[in-house]
Amino acid sequence: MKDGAAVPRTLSAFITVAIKGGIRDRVISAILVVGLLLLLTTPVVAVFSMRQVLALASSYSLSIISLVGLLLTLSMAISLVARDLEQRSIYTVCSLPISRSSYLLGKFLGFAILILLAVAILGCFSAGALAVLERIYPPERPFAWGGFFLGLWFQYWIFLIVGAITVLFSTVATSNFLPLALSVGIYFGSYSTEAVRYYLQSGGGEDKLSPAVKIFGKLVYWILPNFSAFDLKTEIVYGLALSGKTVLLTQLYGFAYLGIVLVLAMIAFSRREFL
Amino acid sequence: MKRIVLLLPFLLLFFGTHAALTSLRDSRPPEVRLGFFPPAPVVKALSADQYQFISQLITLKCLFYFGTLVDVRKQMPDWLRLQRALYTASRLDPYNMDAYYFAQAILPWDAGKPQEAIDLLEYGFAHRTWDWYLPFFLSFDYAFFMKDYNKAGEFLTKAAELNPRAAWFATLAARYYYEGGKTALALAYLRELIPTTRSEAIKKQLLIRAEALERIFQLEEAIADFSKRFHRAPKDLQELVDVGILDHLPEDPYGGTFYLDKQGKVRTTSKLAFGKGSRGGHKN
Repeated sequence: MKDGAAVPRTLSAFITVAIKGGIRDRVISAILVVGLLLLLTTPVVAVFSMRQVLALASSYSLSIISLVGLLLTLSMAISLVARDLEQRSIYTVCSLPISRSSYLLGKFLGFAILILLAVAILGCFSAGALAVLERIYPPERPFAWGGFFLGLWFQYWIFLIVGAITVLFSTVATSNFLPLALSVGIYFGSYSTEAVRYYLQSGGGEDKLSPAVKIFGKLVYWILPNFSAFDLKTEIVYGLALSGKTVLLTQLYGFAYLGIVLVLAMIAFSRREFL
Repeated sequence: MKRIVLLLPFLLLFFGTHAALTSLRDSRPPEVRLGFFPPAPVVKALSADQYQFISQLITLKCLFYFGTLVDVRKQMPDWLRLQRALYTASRLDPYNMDAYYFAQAILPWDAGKPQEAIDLLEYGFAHRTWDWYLPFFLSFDYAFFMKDYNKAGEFLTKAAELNPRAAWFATLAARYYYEGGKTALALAYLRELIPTTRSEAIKKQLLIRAEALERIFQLEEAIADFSKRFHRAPKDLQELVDVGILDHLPEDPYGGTFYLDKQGKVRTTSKLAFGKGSRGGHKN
């Protein structure tokens, strides 16, 4: 057993290791650079709009942040545990008097800090481009900067949840491909669960589908994260009102979901046998 | 050196095929060139959070397609495919103003699909409740194309509520609805739209349309003058020149010829659209 002070120390050591690993990774740096270069093209794309230059610009830059962030998340999260397994450094870690949960949590927190930095850098670039465009092409309604940063924050939470899911699969899988494929599948599926639920509730869904399919649909809605709730692009791009209750509930829901996935990952990792 | 020699045949093949491929692709029928867009629910389900940007991409593709075909090549686009693409864009992102603006610029006029434009605009106004342009467009379409002056009035009131700038148009519209002067109404509408149009392809189309309407308006005024002087309608437009009211007959910028129909209304053989193959072009 570890004493009270040792746990934070171990945790911070793993956070540092994860951050250093991420910074050294050339693939991650390359993805970030590509993202920044793409964001530089925002004004070029936006001027093609007939009536909503800023809306097109913000939609384009948020799409880039979402895609680049997803690539960063997957490449970072997949290497968090899998790299130690591949390089067999996990054996050394396991032989030390530290808990596997501390190892996993430390690594994940390192990943969370790196992703936050990446989203902040991409967000600042994007905000700069949007601010310039806002001056050149003043929109009919003032651009919702608060909504923009809130949207980026929730986008960050999507990356955290996807990262946690990837880590969960990494703790049980024996290859890199399976966690990657499952995480990508869950990412795309999680944007559709709400639409599926609406369909099941609609007249068409009620009449056409068997009870088993309906139960399965509801189950999937509860199991997969509802990323549609985190997607505030429409509100940001068109400056629509956001209720405080929605924001708070979404945040709490995201926190709860992330917690569940991380705890499951810790349980799976602590039970895994390394031979 | 060997590598450069190896590169040469590939470069030759590349330049040889690239030009040929470009001209081959340019010669594809309009139906193929816009491409196929799956229904909005399918795109939404497969595109995660990218559906909004995809909606804008579809609209931009429609604009480029229209600009290249009509503005550069003077060919008729596939209106039905354009209408469907804009429908998909609006269902993917109901707030996408570019889709509604483009639909209003082409569907009721060139494509002869005012009802389809109205359906799209009403869907847009249900979402963009703050945007005065949508009820403004709707009021014009209802008055000018559908002759439903009650509906036109309703939407004009909504537009004026959202933006007092629309109020001047309401006064003008009321007078023209009363007098039945559709050409002047369309001219007033176009004059409001042209200065705020950013797309050069659309702006060019609107300017040509305004020019044609101005000439029709000039002919209508000359007919009114003729009727006042001679207490009868002219037999044809040439009579306006013969009696000295007009120096010469104006030319239709769409390449058609103005004429008087049996009801004594000014018409043009071009139906205010480029190309003889115009499907359901607008009757001025």
